[in-house]
Amino acid sequence: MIIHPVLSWLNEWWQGVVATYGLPSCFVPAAQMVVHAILIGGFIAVLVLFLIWLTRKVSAHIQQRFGPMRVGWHGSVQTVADALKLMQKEDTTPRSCDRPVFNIAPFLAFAPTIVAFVVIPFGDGAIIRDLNIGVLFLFAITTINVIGVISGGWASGSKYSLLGGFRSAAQLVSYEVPLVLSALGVIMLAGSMKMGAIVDAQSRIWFVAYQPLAFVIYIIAATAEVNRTPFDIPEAEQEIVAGFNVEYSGMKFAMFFLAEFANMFLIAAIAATLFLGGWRGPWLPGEFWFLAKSFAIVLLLMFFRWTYPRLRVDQLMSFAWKFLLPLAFLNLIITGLILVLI
Amino acid sequence: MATDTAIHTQEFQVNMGPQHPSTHGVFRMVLTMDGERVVDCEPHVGFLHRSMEKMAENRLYIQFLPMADRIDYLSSLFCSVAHCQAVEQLMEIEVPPRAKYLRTMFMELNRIASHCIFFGVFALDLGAVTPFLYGFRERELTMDLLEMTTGQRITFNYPRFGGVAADLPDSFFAVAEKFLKVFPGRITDYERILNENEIFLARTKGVGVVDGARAINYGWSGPNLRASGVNFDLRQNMPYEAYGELGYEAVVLSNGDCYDRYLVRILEMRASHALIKKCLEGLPDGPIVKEKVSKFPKVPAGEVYARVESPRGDYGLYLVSDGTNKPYRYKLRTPSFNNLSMIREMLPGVYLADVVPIFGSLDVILPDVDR
Amino acid sequence: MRVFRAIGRLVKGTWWLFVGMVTTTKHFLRRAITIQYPKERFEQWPRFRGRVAMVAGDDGGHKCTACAQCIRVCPAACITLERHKEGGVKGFVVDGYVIDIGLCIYCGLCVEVCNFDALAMVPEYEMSVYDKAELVYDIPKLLSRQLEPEFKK
Ligand code: SF4
Ligand code: SF4
Repeated sequence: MIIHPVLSWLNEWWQGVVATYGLPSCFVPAAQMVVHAILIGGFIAVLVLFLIWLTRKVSAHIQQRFGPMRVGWHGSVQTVADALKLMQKEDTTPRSCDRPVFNIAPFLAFAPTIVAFVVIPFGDGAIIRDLNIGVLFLFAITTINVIGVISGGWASGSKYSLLGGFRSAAQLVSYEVPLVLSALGVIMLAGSMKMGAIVDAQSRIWFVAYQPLAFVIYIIAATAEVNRTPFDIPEAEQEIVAGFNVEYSGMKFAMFFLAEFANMFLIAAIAATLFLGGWRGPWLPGEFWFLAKSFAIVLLLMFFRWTYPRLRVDQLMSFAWKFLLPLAFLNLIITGLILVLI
Repeated sequence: MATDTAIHTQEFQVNMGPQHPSTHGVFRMVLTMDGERVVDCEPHVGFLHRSMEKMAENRLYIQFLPMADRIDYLSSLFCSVAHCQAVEQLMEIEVPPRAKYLRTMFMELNRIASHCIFFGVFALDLGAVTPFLYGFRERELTMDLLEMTTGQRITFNYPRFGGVAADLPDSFFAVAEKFLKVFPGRITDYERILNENEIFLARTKGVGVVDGARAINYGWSGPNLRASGVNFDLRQNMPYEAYGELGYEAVVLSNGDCYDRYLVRILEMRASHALIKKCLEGLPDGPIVKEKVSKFPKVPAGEVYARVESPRGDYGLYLVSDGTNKPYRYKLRTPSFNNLSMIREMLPGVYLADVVPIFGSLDVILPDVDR
Repeated sequence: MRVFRAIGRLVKGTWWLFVGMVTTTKHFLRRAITIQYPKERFEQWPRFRGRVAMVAGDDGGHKCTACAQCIRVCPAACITLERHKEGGVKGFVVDGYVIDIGLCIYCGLCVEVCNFDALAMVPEYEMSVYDKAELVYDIPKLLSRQLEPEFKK
């Protein structure tokens, strides 16, 4: 309701420009893409800065501390200061590393996250590409960032990061399955993989009411997917120091960090779209509702993180395969049965 | 391996420590790993060796008193009380009852402080950050009480030969009252967060099991021993200071796994809380230090073994005096060293992720190991 | 039976996970207990042992009689005293009295053994300097901070 008019106005204006100056027509989609890329990039940058600040504040208050208080109002610009600090840091490359892989890994981890934002409906019509395979695209593209993590862990030439990378791979492969299965229930209900259609299907009742089990499975699997406690074993600092990013510093480390936080929001945004009615809500603009729902889930993840201990790697696996997966199948079967019977 | 179809894996070595974030100080383990499993562990201690024993032998008895606090800085009062006890036994000094009660009370406070840290650090070892800060929060309360009386928060230098250095200040009772009131609720908070938490149970139950016989063989003591089902607590079995009058029943659990080692300490915090209450209620009047004990005593020749139940176990001090004003031999039997000695046997076969909780559950502190 | 037990365990586990969350949420809503250090400071307890200081006598000078008891007891050997005998004066005359605060372990034994109340521990704890030499406190520096009345025994 806010973004959509702006985007279409921009689009029309540019079309006008192209028409007036007689430029080739392929300039229209090209410019559109550039605008969208800038929008997403800017959004992610602001979002991550805010999320990091939020994490610090939430964790601090859970622990009865203040958290950052010095830079800006209640430390609100602290993350900006930290980002500047990270940029100034020396970008060290360990001698035993696999240089090209080591250098490209942070970008491999970060890029899929940006791409995934393409199909997120931020509001009414505020979706960049409402692909007809939206959900599939999302899960496919977010899985790619594990390649970045593995290659980062492998290329660092450190045993800790190697362990971290492989833990991450094993974890992602296991949790991807229940994650997708839990989303399947929603897709069956909506009858479409299009994000817009899924949101539209929830105009009366949110899918979380029909699919509570799937929602729980989704939240658990998603927590594991983005390596948050209690499933943060790939970067368990008490065991393997910092896991895959132990050798990274400066901007490359910031990339991993950025990817982690952007992923967290992404997972929450998907949950909001699939289960909580997306941008739908009374009175206020859809963008507000979308952000409110996403941040509610982000907060939930944060509370998980600051409350629970971490699982062990084998427990993590058996939890995924022996517990979540059967449950997800059960949910799927029940959903299918009900759909057929009704 | 009977057939050759088995997957062959390559073992590799991981160097854990001395700067690893969770080795609780400067402890180094060279772990031989097979994937995520530990095959062998080679512990290296001694990074924090300060030659405390030799230092004691080169100093007057009173001069070593503040240094003894630094042997185990999380439970420093115990070390200096043991030092005083040894000297008192050789000089045959009877400590006035009020001093005994004060020592007992502050030792229990110090025990709470130490166990609070254990609680926090153990949770941190398992990846839960928040309990760490909760533990430190309660430790501040106990340290406030200690600071009011002794003047310092960690290295108290409180006991003296024949008594203690200072009596309670007037404001002590109000603050202590408040502490005694809030503390049980705080322990309940701890229990709510961890005790029944499925993840915590999964991580600690049945991990690092040590049975009583093996624990005794390795000279374990303290909460670790009691978690293995051995009912031995110096406060109960060989009471010293005011424990005999107060009466104390040891907390004993039976499973000997990480969870029980954790639970023993949580229960001991409650027991200590009760002891402090009893101490404050039954605090006798009278002098706090025996009259006419020189500050620079010449200790009669002889040898003595003084032991106290520190939060980590049986802290022993073997003191040989040759009649001068310096110890002739000052041998420490620190509980952490003995508790740590089994680590090499406990680790093979466990997952890398369990190494740190097992190590953490022993609650060793490296200055106490290396002294 | 096994199914029931499993369900029971599931419910119990979920319940305790929930209780944990409630506990942290409760703390989340409480006030923070830390303080903003350079802006706010703790009030020290009256007995707090900060650094060693010399107690000023009525004339504003120190009260030390150069008996060297403090030197004898100091475990860190951080006190240096220069003294000489002078005809007509009983005891010694103090030429210089220096404490190396960088070595001091704040044990308070020197204060305890001094029979002339010449030393005290003042509640000062911010003593960082850029040069080690500044940590060597001579008589004027040792006299520079005195106990506030409430801190006196
Ligand atoms: S003990 Fe007191 S009087 Fe004696 S030298 Fe030391 S400060 Fe001076
Ligand atoms: S406080 Fe202790 S270490 Fe410091 S000068 Fe006095 S006796 Fe020496």
